[in-house]
Amino acid sequence: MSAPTQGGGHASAAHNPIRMYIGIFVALTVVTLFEMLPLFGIVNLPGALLLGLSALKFVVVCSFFMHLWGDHPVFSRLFYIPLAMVILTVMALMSMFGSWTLAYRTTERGTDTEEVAARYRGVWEGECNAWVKSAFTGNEYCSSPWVAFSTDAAYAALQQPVADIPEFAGWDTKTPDEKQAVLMAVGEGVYNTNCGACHQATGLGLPTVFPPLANDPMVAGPAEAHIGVVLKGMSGVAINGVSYASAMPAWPQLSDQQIAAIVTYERNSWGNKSGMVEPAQVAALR
Amino acid sequence: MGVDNYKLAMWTFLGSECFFFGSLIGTYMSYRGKSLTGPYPLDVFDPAVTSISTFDLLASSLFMVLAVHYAKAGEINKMLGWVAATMVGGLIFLGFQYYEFSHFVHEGLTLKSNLFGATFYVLTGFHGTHVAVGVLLLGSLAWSAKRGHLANIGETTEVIGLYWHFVDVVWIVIFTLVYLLEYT
Repeated sequence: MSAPTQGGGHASAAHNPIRMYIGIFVALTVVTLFEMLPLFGIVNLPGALLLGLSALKFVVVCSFFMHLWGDHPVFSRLFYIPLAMVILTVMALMSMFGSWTLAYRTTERGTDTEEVAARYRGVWEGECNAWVKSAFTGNEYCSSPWVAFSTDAAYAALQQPVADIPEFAGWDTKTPDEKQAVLMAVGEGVYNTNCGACHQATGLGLPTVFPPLANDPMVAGPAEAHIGVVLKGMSGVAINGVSYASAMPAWPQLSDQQIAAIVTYERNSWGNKSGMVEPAQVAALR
Repeated sequence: MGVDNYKLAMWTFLGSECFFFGSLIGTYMSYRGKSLTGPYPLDVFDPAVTSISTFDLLASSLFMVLAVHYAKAGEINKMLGWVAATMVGGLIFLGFQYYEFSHFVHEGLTLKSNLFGATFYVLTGFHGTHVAVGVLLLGSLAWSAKRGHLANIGETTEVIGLYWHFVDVVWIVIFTLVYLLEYT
């Protein structure tokens, strides 16, 4: 049976298959060495080129080491048809998750720019919301609430500086009750857009991941501390004896009016009753 | 169809393996860049280790194809030598993976530290498991061949070789998607 089957049967190379195998190995090695140049910072290669070379190596190994080339076509069909379905599935998944661009944030920050840029070579050039220091490596990581943003466009829309919110017109002439009503109405929207993804619309967070804002000592305490957490972020603090896995990002990109609205909303929802915060108080703490 | 039954079975299995690794790769790629906290890929990756294990697996594919060639030519001693070389290549790869994993864990990347850790360990861990299974298959092949238990050494070696090369091409994909793309 061994003679007629001749799985590696390959007319052109039949006279010296070993030379062909070694030649293919050398070619694969050269391509791999070329691909590795970016690993060592020698040359930058575009991702599309790397994917193309990878596909080329894949097909060469299948064709010549696995002998699909010249073998019975049923083997190629059994392999390449599922492979094509898998590639389409992976691409569909990546589209659903908005994963076509690398989302690690690159940013400019003080003197660490080069180091940070070298570490997070993402395509995104936006602000980093929060810097978290790893207890393990001592490195700082950019922590952004990615769960909230399915696409870069959605994130960019939130980054737009908000000038004056119409509801705040004639602020100084309003009565305290009118001010509170405006802050609560605006605050609910801003909260659900920016904060609700982690702290949840219920204000209950997620156990051990995102802290709750209902019955929270910080929300019940002085407004200055509360505003400070929104403006500057927070991490590594146990709340009511519970440690949380995620860092609170800083939100300096939000306007004074928006932050005043968020804080007021948080201080007067889910059973909280801690009074109103004015935009001027936020401005004073920036 | 006049083709070897075991070979047909192996190709069918490899087609299903495409779906298996496709689901893991799809998960990795979907969650790529979405970790809330570090360590991130570039914090932990070691280009030297990855390069060496990539070449090691590539070389083992050459050894495997030579083993198949000599098995079909009936030169059993040469075949056994190349099978042993292939197994050594697989074991070296597993050694580097152990080194890499323990290094990463030391740096704070675990299965549950972030999305990157969860998807990375599951994907590369299952690939490593496949390498380990391949080493065991090659070991039992060499054992049976040496004891003279195999009637059709050529076909058996070829079928196990298909599995080995598949594990190698999966690494070609992982190497590109998981490692190389971080450096573009």
